[in-house]
Parts: sequence; structure tokens; C-alpha cells
Amino acid sequence: MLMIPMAEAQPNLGKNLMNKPAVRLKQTTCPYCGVGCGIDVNVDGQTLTQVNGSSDHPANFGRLCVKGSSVLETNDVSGRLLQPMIGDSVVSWDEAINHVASGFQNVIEKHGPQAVALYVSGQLLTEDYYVANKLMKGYIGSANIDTNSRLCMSSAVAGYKRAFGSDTVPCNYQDLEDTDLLVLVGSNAAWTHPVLFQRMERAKQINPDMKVVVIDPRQSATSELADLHIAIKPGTDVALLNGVVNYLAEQGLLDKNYIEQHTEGFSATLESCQAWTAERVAQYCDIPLEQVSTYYQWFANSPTAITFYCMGVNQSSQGTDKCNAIINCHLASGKVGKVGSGPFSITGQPNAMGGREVGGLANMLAAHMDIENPKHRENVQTFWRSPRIADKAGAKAVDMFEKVRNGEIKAIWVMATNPAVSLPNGNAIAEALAACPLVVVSDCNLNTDTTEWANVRLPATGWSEKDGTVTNSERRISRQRGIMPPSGEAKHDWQIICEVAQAMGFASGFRFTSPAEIFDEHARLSGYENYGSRDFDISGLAGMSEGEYDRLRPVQWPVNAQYPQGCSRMFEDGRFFTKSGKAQFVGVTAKAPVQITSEEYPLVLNSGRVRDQWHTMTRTGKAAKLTAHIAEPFVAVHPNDAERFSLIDGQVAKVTSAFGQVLLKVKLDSGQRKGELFAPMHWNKQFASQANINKLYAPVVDPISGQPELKHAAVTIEPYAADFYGIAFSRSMIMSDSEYWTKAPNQAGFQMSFAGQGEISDWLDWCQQHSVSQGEWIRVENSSEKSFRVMCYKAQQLEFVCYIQATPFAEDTSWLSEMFMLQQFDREEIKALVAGTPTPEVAKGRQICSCFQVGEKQIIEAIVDYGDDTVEKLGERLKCGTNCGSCKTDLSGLIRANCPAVAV
Amino acid sequence: MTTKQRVIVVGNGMVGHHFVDQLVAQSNQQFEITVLAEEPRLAYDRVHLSEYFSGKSAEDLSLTSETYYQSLGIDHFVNQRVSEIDRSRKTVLTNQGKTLEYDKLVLATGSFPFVPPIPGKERENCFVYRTIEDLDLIKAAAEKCKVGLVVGGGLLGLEAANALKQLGLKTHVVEFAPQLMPTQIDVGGGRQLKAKIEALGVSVHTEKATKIITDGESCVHKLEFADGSEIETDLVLFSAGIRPQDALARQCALEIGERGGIVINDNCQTSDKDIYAIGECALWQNRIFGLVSPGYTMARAAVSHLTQGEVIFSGADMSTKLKLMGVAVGSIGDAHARTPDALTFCYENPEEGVYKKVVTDTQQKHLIGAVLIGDTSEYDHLLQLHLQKDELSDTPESLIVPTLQGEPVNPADTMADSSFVCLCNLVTKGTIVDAISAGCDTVDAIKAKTKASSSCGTCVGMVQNVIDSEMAKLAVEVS
Ligand SMILES: Cc1cc2nc3c(=O)[nH]c(=O)nc-3n(C[C@H](O)[C@H](O)[C@H](O)COP(=O)(O)OP(=O)(O)OC[C@H]3O[C@@H](n4cnc5c(N)ncnc54)[C@H](O)[C@@H]3O)c2cc1C
Ligand code: SF4
Repeated sequence: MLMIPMAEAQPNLGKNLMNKPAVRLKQTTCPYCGVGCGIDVNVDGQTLTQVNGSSDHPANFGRLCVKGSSVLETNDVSGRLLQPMIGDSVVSWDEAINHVASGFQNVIEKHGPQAVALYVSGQLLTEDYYVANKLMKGYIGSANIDTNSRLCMSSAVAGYKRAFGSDTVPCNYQDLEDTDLLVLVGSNAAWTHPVLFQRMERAKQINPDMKVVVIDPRQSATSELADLHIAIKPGTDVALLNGVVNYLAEQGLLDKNYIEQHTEGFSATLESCQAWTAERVAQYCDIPLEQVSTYYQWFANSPTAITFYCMGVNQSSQGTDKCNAIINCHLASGKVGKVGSGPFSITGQPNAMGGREVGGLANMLAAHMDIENPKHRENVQTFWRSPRIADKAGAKAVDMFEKVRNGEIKAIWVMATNPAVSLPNGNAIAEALAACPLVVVSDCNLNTDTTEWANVRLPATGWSEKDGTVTNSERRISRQRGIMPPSGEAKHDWQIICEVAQAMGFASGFRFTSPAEIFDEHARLSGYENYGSRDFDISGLAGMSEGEYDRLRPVQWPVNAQYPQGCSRMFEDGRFFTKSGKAQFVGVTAKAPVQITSEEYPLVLNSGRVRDQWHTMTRTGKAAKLTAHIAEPFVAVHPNDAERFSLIDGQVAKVTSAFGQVLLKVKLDSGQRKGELFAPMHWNKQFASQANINKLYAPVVDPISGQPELKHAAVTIEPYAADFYGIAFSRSMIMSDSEYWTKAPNQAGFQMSFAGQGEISDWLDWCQQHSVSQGEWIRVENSSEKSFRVMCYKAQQLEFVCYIQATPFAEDTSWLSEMFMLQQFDREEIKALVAGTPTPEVAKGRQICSCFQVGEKQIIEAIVDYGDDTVEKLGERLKCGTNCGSCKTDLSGLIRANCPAVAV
Repeated sequence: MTTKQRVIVVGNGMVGHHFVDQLVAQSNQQFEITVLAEEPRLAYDRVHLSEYFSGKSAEDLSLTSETYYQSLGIDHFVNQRVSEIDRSRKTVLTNQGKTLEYDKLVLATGSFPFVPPIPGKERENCFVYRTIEDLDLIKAAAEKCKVGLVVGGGLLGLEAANALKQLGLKTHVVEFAPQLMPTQIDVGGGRQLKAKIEALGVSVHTEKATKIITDGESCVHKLEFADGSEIETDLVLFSAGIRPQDALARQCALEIGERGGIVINDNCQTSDKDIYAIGECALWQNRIFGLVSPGYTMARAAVSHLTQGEVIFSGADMSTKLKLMGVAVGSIGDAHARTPDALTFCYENPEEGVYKKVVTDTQQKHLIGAVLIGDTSEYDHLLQLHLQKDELSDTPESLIVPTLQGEPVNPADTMADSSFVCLCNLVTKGTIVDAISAGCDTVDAIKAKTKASSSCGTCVGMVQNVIDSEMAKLAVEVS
């Protein structure tokens, strides 16, 4: 048993807090991405006052990205769901639990266990996940439990299982710093996994010989770091990767020894790769030959290499094959199970890995045991002493909602996720939820696009209240600690699930009173009948007391007799969890994406994240600091395409596929490939009128993993003929009803961008109708240009300002929001807003560094006027990029754009 | 006697009367003047007609009297409507069978209220609001009514609504346009005005096209609107605009504007050089002037032409300042910012019910229009800037935004002595200053002495400003 006591650390008090001994320090983890950074929280009485990266957490060693460091800003109770609700009425917990339990039971009695489903989430803690899975697979007796992780890394899981016989991430974060060659495929880590990216940047600084290759159809913040950026035609990854194996064979650089001793199936795989000469690859992937050759040479000759991959690989109709194509390269060159080497899949969510471990996917059982394996089923059922055990895979996410839509599933319970936004073909998801007789949603938010359809809403605890464990992308289990009591009447997800299970008559399996008890059962199950046959074994963590559980330090599984301190790297011994103990080559052939372009839909739509937002924005959308970087959804368009489709920068465009339509602002971007668009996937209906791009995607999935093809929709784009464009900032709420609008919290309070058609005869009145601001109002109108400025102020304080014009805003308008921060608001300030010219104090430009609020104009000034030509020099002058570092790639981009010497 | 020119004036409204007044004053009795008035009494102050309801008698409102006309030797006939003009014979025929010869004919027939062609408009208790007789009818009918409704939310409609309210009726105003007073003020001002008027207990219904008036259930009538809604009322007052009274001119084939109005030139001559038209019946450069002050200017132009003077009519500023139900309203120049490339600056304080707007040229140099609701204290200053085309010394919004306004300035301080304070009666600042030096130190005293502010009343404030300005100067001199 492993026990590394970690006494509640002494608060690392800042000078200003020295004389306030009441401040306690609590250690926990970040609720956002799969890096799983440790966070130290200062708690002053009942308030969380400050967060810092935990200096001793091995994921981040003290670093935090801007999302993590802003977590307190998203943590207030505004917008929280605080009481159980049936329809729109608040009810007691008893009533709610009984309603859900009897609702589920009735459906099961009439239509069988396949007619109910749970749709859960990588935001749940392992303990929550564990009981949800147990209820469904062991007690209800169906495997209709799936998770939003299906959208994130199920292809990676399937790829690992095919190759290694187990869902095992072999590498660890330290490997990223110890490698000679880092190949990022389908990952914009700079924005999506910023702390890992910082570690990569640092590694490259320390070791200038380290090479970074970025394989991504578009230029991104990540490709800024690349020695080689290969902008392949989307969906052609398999060809490029197969070419690696062919090249190794051609050049005689295969690791024959490794192949011989530790793998099977090589010759068949080589056959499927042989056609892929560098020339053919260059042609097929639509890239210069020398890029292909360079990549192949580097990979073949580098002593170590990591291929780091994410959604760009996984979210594909051929995602599993792509993963195996990656793994094949590593097996063929023996770059697995070694320091600085391996195929490294990164998860998007904080606890996607935990979900995999408990079996929270429809095609898994529990503790990495297989649903199809009778022995495994027997193990689990015996261990659980459960009345039933699911014996076949249940419906996977996309499938599940299709079954809801066609009536096969009649009751669904959604936990901690927002499928109305995140699943493809959103219009059909809405239809499904509308038609479903019983929709239960557990969430910490009152209003999401999904709770809109809920018959029952159950208030769940959120970050800082939730208490349990999470596993990050390097198999590291960390405590996410409950620091605050639950808000309102909220309960922990595991409690809610156990109460419903008990109300359904399944008392015996759900008498848990703490997450430690659940974790203990989970740990014991992982060791049950294992004997080294299964990778996931944390039996070494079984038997902890509540106190020991609370003090648990971050540890990488497996944790068992063989690895009492955990295990940082897998497969060092070249033994795998397949029957033969050998890794499997899986021969794969390049296939075109399913959603292909046509005359009607001639463009490819790619999707992804932006730096400061998370998922469907239900939490990050609340923080002003996080919306300053990119406050408005957009579609990135290559200038040539813009010309072809008559689009100009900043205008609203209609993007249409066979499945739906959205309105987005055009952002000209020569880093896009021609014929391809990119749009962020975060914006939901609470923040934008029609910006949920996932609804444009067909419900096409990878046949093996069931992961949807969310990076390749066939769409068309056309200008939206807006008669007016507006931007508004306000201390209080702003209401929106124009055809195009997006909202965001802002340092002023709120901000809204909007556009629409028709003539508004009285903009002053419109502004008064759409805001709750009170005070003195001014309106300025240039009717021939159709431009308007409206503002409201009260007692020397700006309350509201709105600029409207007939054309897209070309000028930066962020100074308007800065006006709210001024100490004084008087004559000069009023005149500035009337005239539309910023006062000197606010002329900073678009915010680039969120941590120190440094604006674009300031940075450009430093580059042009002071000759700051490195990120470091800018940091010295303006502090930008010196805290979380998330903006460093933006800074280097600005240097390149504004400093001719560097651009060459 | 035979050398005297025979001048016949048709209509004895405010403008007709002013013409007579001026002609007498400007001539050396070389004219033989005959006044033919359709109404049962001689000219009265229509501008202040509503005061008839608040206690003033017909006599209080009258602008002249039989004795006065007699003293001037003016033939005058009331209840005498001219029914025909024979231009070739230069005669007019009245409804009482009188035929009179003229050398010069002046048409001052004014206008008549437009009643929209709504089925049911002839029902009982449906009135217009123009003459003392109309008001008598309304007053009598109102005694048996609980609810009254005005069709038309313009300046007159609101005055009429106020009258109905004072008569104790629950009052509605129905307006076709999306706002009140669409002619004088802009949408924003209309919105603020609506709020204030509703706060006074009058229900305002904008964007209502009346389809029909039929039997009501709880009231005598029911008005049905195009949008499907309906309102019940016992009494209906039409105030949907005026139409120039040009029937006679049509009958004798004078040139008439496309949409009515007797076409005149800068001398106020019609297409027949011996016939003049002045006041609301006249159409100058395709415009009708529905205010008293331009009518007076026309009257003076016609007089000037008859007396070989130089004064011509060259259009008129339609700026107005008034109080509607106690709500101060001002409109200056291009209130709607219709001038190409005009810029608009508005200030609104909903809590205090104040709305102000100024309109400037693109360069923001000149004030070309303004609207003031709830507070007209800047009116005189703005009007002066507008009329004198003064270059603005600060940004336009500084004229109206309290935080940006400097110390209040008295616009009279910078006014030239030759500038007109009272446009109705053409009284200059200099004339008023003289009156002040002569001991007139109240508006009433100056009104009595100089006639300034005696007609439409817009300049009352400016007269006071001149008094204040002069008094301040005196105070400085004394100290
Ligand atoms: C209630 C009310 C309030 C107003 N308030 C204001 C204000 O605040 N400021 C402002 O500037 N203006 C105001 N006006 C408008 C102003 O009263 C008119 O612009 C002005 O009276 C026009 O004068 P007029 O002589 O052209 O026409 P009228 O005053 O209409 O006089 C025309 C006269 O001619 C008579 N007539 C017509 N045809 C014949 C005929 N064939 N034979 C004989 N006689 C005939 C008519 O009966 C009438 O008496 C108001 C008007 C009303 C009704
Ligand atoms: S990198 Fe990921 S886990 Fe770390 S702070 Fe940022 S969002 Fe949180």
C-alpha cells in the first residue's frame, strides 16, 4: 500500500497576506483540460481568494494557463442551479429522486433496460463515474451509458486496445521534455493544453537540437513553435503516417529487433504501407515533397520521438485507423516504452481517463475489463454482487441520441455535459431531447442549451465543492478536493446517483457515504482477479483511511505490488496486454472522410478550441478575463476564398451544411488552406444566436470507436446581408434579439456584438429596451452613414455604450470597454465617446496578454518604436507573456508581422 | 374717393386681420378696405383657442372689434361667406347674395380641419377643433360623455386632448404615425413626449389606422383599427391635419398646388396679379405654413407690394416653442435631420423626462435643427444660433448635455439690436431695449408697448431674456 502523506501544506503566503494567519492553503486540481494541473487555493474563511499552480504537482510544477488561473472568476454562484426542479417548479430532493427513480423504473418495466440511458461526462470525478457505471451495467443491466469522452478520445482508446491489448497511454509528460523529436498531429496544444505546450517550449529552449513537427491543415499558435509545419489536406493523415513505415523500410532503418521480439503483424502492415512513397504522399496530402522527406528523415534518424496527438486525429471517420498508423510508426522504429518516445494521446477533459478506468463508456465494463469477455463479466458481477451484468455493448453517444430520437430510448439522464451543443447534427439532438418522455439533467448550471429540454433538473456540486479523484493524460491520479460546502441544495453526483439507485430498490450496492469508500471499491475491483493480466491496477491504493485518501498525492497508475510508487512509463519491458504479449501492427489504408465536398457544399469546415475558452463555455463563459482574448465566435477564411465568396473581414457570414446553418463573423486568415474553413466549437445559445457549429456536422462516426467526424464537414459560405453592425458594453445585463448576436462577460460587466437586417428607427430607444441601464443617455447619429453611438452614464460613471454602423467594424473597439475602468468619467470621457476617439488612457488595442491586460497596440508600439524583436524583450517591457505564457505565440506572431527583420 | 383702390379681404382669421391692421398702418388711406368673414365674429386669437375652455371668453380672445374696424373706416361683414369670384369682372359674390367689386382681392381663407374618410365619421358627437363654434359644440356634448378620443396626435390633437381632459373626460389620443407630433419632433422626442403625456393620464395609441367607427358597447362609439384592436369612446375629435381652404381659388381657376393650396409668389400674388393669398391657404414654393408667424409675414409682404414697398415673403422659420399639457416642447429648424449629411446629437434623461437634440452640418460648425422636450431652457440660445448661423464654439453635444454645458449664458447678451425677437410682429431687440429704458420692466409691459410676444407666444422667454440682460448691464453700471 502506498501512502505518501502530504500534510496540509503551509500556505505560501504572499507578503501582503503575511499578517492574515486565517488563510489556509488547499491543494486540488484544475477543472479544465486533460493536462490536469495541480492548483493551490488560498481560502480565507469561506472565500477562495487566490490560486497558484502547485509547485510540486508533476503535471505543471507551479505553472497554470490562463483558464486555470482564472478559475475563481468562474466559480461564483451566479447562474448556478441550486435546487432540484421538475419542469419549472422547485421540488424537494425526495420528490426529485423518486420522480427520476420511478420514471426510469416504469420505462424499464414496460420496455426493458435498453430503453433507458445515461449520458455522462469527463467532467465527472472518478467516484461519480464509478457509481454511474455500476448502476447501469450491474443493476439496470444495460450498457447504455456513454460519455462525452466519446467525442474526445474514443478513437485513441480503440487504437491503443488494438495495438497493445489495453487502453494504455505509454508515455508521460516528462518524456515531452526528454525527446529529440516531437511530432504534434491534430493538436493545437498551445491553446488546448497550454501548460504542456509551455513544457515543450521550455524543452526546445534547453535543447535547441530538439525538432518540432506540427502536422495540421491550418497554421495555429502551435505551429509557431514548429521547425516544420506540414499543412496536410485534411483527412490524409494515414497516408502520411504509412509513408513513415515505408520510408523506414526503404532506408533500412526499421528496428528489426524490436519488431521481431515485441510485435506481430508487421509484414501485412508493411504491405499496406509500401505504396506510400514520399512522392505519392506529397501528392496525396497536397504538400511539398521536401516537407515529407524532412519529416521522414527526422523521424527515422532521431534516437527518440514522440507523436503527440489529439482531436485532429481522433475526431474522424477513420480516427482509430489514424491512431494505429501513428502507433505503427513507433513500433516499426522501436520508439515505444523508452524515455522520450511513444505514441502519446492527449485527452481533452480533466477526467476522461478516469472515465475510461471505471468503464464509463458503452463498450467497456469496469476497471479496463471487456464487456465481451465472459470471464470479465463474471469477475465484475461477482465482485459487485450485482443482480445483473450487461453482456453487450450499449449505444455510443451519437447512436444513443439517435435511439432517443427514434423512441427506442425513452428515458435519458445527462450528467455534467451539454450534448445539445457538443454533439454533431445538433438540430437532430434537439429533436431527440424534445421527443424524449423523460430527460433528467444533473448540472451545476441552471440554464444550458441542454437543461432547456430537461423534465427534471438536479443541482450538482461544482469545482471547489466536488470531492474525489481525477486522472490526467499521463495516467496520473490526483485528488480534486472539496474545499467549499455545496452551494444551495446541490449534491455530489455520486450522492445523487446512489440515492436514485436506492430509490430504484438497489440499496445494497450503493450504500456509500464518502468518495473514499467508492475509490476503495474501485481500487479493489482493479486488482480483483487481475494477476498482471490487466494494465489498470491500482490495488496498491486500496484500504486507505479517509484521512489517507484525503492526503493522497498525485500518482501514476498502475499502483500495485509491482509498482508501489506508481509507474511513469509503460511497456519498458516490451510486454503488452495482448494474448501473445506482443504489440500488434494494424495495417490501415487511407480513406477519404465521409463528409466530402460537393458543388453545393464546396468547402471543408474544420473545428477546434480557442485559447481561453473551455468546452461549451458553461463555466469559462462567465469570466471576463477569459473572453477578452476572443470574445466572439468566428470563421477563419483564406483571403482567396473570401474573394471567391464575396466576403470581407469582420462581416457576418452564413455557413450552411446539409444539416444546419450558423452565422459567424469572417476572420481573414492566410494560415488557412484554400477551400477550408475553421471555426471554434465553444459557443452555445446562451452566448450566441447561431454559432453552434457542431450542428453542421453529419452524425458520421468512426466505425470502430464511434467517435464522430467533427473536423470535416462539407459546407458553403455566403455573406449575410446585414444592414447594421453593433457592439455594446454595459455594466448591467444586455438583452439581444437581432438575428446575429454574441454575448460575453467583460471587464465592464457585459458585452454584446450584434448584426441584423431592417431599419431600426430609434437606436436610443432600442438600446434602452435592450439594457437595464439607467441614467443620462446620449445618442449621436450620422444618418447618411447610418452610424450611431449611444451611451448612458450616471453619477460620473459609464453605464452603457453601444456603437452601431452599417458596415463591419474594422477598427478595434475594445477601448470602449476600457472606458468603464477609468477612475473618472467626466467631460473629456463623454466627448471621447461622442467623437469615437479613445482618450489616451484607453488606447491599448485588442487584449493579447490576459494576465497583465496588455493590448495589441501597446505591443506593436514596443516592436516598432522600441525594436523589441523577441518575446522576452516584450515581456521585459510590458510584462506580457511572463505569467501563464499562453499569449507567447500571439506575441511572436505580432513580432513577425511588425518587424520586417524577423519576418525573413 | 374714386382714386381709392378697393381692396377686399376674404376671411378674417388671424392673418386676414393682421393684413388689415398692417395695410391701415402702412397706407395713407389710399385703400378702401372691405372684410368679408364667414365666421359669426371678427378675428380672434386662434392660437390660444384652448383657453376658451379654461375660462377665457370669446371677447377675451378677440383680436379686434366692430368699433375698432369702424374707427378705421373698414367695411366688414360677418357670417358672409364668399361663394364666387368673377375674375373678368373683378367681383365677388357672397352667400348672402351680395356682389362687391374689387381692384385687389386678398384671400385669407385659412384652412379647414382634415377629416379622414373613415366610415362612421358623420356619427353624432364627432367634431373638429378649429373655431369657437366647434368648441361650444364640444363643450355641450362633453357634458353627457365619459370618454373622449382625439384622432391625430399632432400639435393640435394634443391641445384638443388636453381640452377633453379638462372637460373631465377619460381621454385617448390615436395617432397613425409611430410617434406623437411627427411634423415638429423626432422619434426620440415623440417617445419621451408620449411617456410624459401618458403620465398625465391621457392614453396614447400610436401606429393606429382607424378603419371604422361603429356602435360601441360600453360607450356610444367604437373605433376599430387596422391591427384588429378597438377603443370605445363617447366623443370623437378629428385633428388629423389641416387642408388649405382653396375652394374659391379653384372655383375661379387660380393656380392650385398638386395637393391643394393657392400658389403664390414672393409678393403673395396668385396666378392672377390682382389677387393675393396669405396665411394657411397659400402655397409658397410648394409649402403650406401652418403657423401664425409666417402668415403674418405673408400679410406684411402683400401689404408691402400693395404699397410699393420692398418686403417680400421668402419662406419662414417654423421653429416653435410651446407647452402641451404642461409639457415644454420646442422644435427648431430641421428637427428631423433631413438635411443631407446632417449629424444628430441627443441627450435624454428619462428619470427627469427630458429629451434634447441638436442637428448640425457635417462639419459640426452650424446648428441646423433642434428638438427639446421637458426642458426648453436652451431654446432661445439654440434658436439664435440657428437663425444667426453662428459658428459653434464647442462640440455640438456640449450645447445640451448638462455635464458639458458651461455656465448658462443669456442669449440676449450677444444678440444684435437689429435681430428680431418677436417674429410674428417683427419686433427687434433694439425696440425692446428702448421699451425697457422707457421703464417697461415686465413681459406684459413690453407686450403692451411693443406687441412683442402677443401672438404665438414663442418669444415670451426671449423677451424675458432681453429684460434680464439689460437689467444685468444696469446693475453692472450702478456698481
Ligand atoms: C387650437 C389651435 C391652436 C394653435 N396653436 C398655434 C400655436 O401655438 N402657434 C402657431 O403659430 N399657430 C397655432 N395655430 C395655428 C394658427 O392658429 C394658424 O396658423 C393661424 O390661425 C392661421 O391664420 P389664417 O388667417 O391663415 O387662417 P384662419 O385662422 O383659419 O382664418 C381663416 C378665416 O377665413 C374664413 N373663411 C374661409 N373661407 C372663407 C370664405 N369663402 N369667405 C369668408 N371667410 C372665409 C374662415 O372661416 C376663418 O375664419 C393653432 C391653431 C389652432 C386651431
Ligand atoms: S493547462 Fe489545462 S489543466 Fe492546466 S491550468 Fe490550463 S486548463 Fe487547467
